[in-house]
Amino acid sequence: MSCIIIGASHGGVQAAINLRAQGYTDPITLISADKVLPYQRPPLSKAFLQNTLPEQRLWLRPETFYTQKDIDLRLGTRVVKIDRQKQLVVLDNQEQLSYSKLILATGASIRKLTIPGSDLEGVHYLRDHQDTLGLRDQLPEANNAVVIGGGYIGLEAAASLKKLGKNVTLLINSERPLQHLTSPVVSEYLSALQKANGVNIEVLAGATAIIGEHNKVVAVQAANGKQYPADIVVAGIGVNPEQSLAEDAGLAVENGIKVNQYMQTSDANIYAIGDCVSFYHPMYQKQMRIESVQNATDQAKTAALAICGTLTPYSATPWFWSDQYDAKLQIAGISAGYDEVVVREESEKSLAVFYFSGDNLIAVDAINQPKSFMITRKYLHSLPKVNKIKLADCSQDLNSIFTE
Amino acid sequence: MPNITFILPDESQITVAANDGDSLMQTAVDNGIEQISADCGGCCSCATCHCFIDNSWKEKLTPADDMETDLLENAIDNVQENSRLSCQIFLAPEHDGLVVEIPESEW
Repeated sequence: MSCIIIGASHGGVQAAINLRAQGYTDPITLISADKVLPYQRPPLSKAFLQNTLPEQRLWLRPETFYTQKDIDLRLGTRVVKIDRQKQLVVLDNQEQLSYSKLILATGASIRKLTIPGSDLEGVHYLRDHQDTLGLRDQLPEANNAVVIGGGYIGLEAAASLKKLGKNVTLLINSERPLQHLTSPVVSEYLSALQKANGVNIEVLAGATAIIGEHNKVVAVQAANGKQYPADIVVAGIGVNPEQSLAEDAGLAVENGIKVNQYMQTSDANIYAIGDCVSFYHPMYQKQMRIESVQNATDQAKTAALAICGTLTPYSATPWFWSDQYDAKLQIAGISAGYDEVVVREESEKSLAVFYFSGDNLIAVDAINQPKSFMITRKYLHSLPKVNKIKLADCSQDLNSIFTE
Repeated sequence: MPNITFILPDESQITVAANDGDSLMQTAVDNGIEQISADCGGCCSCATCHCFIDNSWKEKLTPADDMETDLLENAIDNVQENSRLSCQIFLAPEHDGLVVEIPESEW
């Protein structure tokens, strides 16, 4: 008996931890393409980029942890093939490791720019430890930064670069930041916050070309016809599920590796968790793929339990967070498909936007309003019907609204 | 290097030497105390690092700010007067002997 985990980010590491915590005593091999100890990803666009989080605080666990828990951590190692018949994986050094259970925690890979000039020196992404270090190295000589992409990474990168004293332009190809992820109210709040901190946000202004001199970035051409000077470019234009190993092995794949409610793929000995997974969420009664720390760690727990013989269907309430300047954004649930929003504004700096589908509450975006986030998260599982008028009224006690 | 004692949900105890300046959450995680799950990595976003600290230590601890208080009061059913989020407590030599009780996870 042995378990191999491919991928040692939040999901892979949590799976190893939970296997041991569940009493799994057989060998565990944890394989990571990264050369450094498994690390937290959220700080890569925030505190670690701003150099306010020392590297040893980035590690998910100290090095001694893996030896203490008898986890064979293979760093700088890639799996090139899964042989399901022989139940083994082939590593990039041709070594073969056999498994009785395999967990795919392969995550997602960055979408790269394909516009002219994308391979110029000075173009950066923020997915891996190495990406952030590479960007940090170039910061001292950079004054002008252009960030491409109005998602969370784009917004966080813009905020971090601004905090570091750069002139920052944020180019967004849609009408507003987070267009497909949140309501106009939240987009407007976050836009205003960026502007108030001195970031130049340009909407309907996707990057169309990166212009270089001597092979180095000097400007970015945008769809609005303007050019923006740039010493560095940071692109945050999304990720794709890392599913090629699964696909090559003939596992069912559809915008992610398909798994059942126990995180089991179409091969009963192979599980998959985290960003790379497509699963049916019983809360929302639809097929989903979620990119988040919570989803990766909670699915890891489900998979570890299943491997140890305890079948508990995955049904965790999704939640997310983002920090930009003095705004703490906390999100519970998935707002996609909402048809109505209710705003609870406690002050200029504190608001919560509740998302409804008909009468059912399906998500909340809370900005500097942790109470709304926490209470919603606590009760969201049933997609409760709550009184919308009271919800918008800050004089009404939130707990009572949910429990009446 | 203050010594910190964690009392786990099964009432077993573990005493560890903490680094000055580390958070209580980080100390727990670094020492393999998995009952503190610390999902958000310590940025006060999730309340999964809930613990109890005896009131006798109150004067030596930085009081909870609004964010921590709101997370605690609204997230957790068994919140008590001595509940804290361990990611918000940073350790110094004066915390030598601190005893921290970790409740059964609600997450």
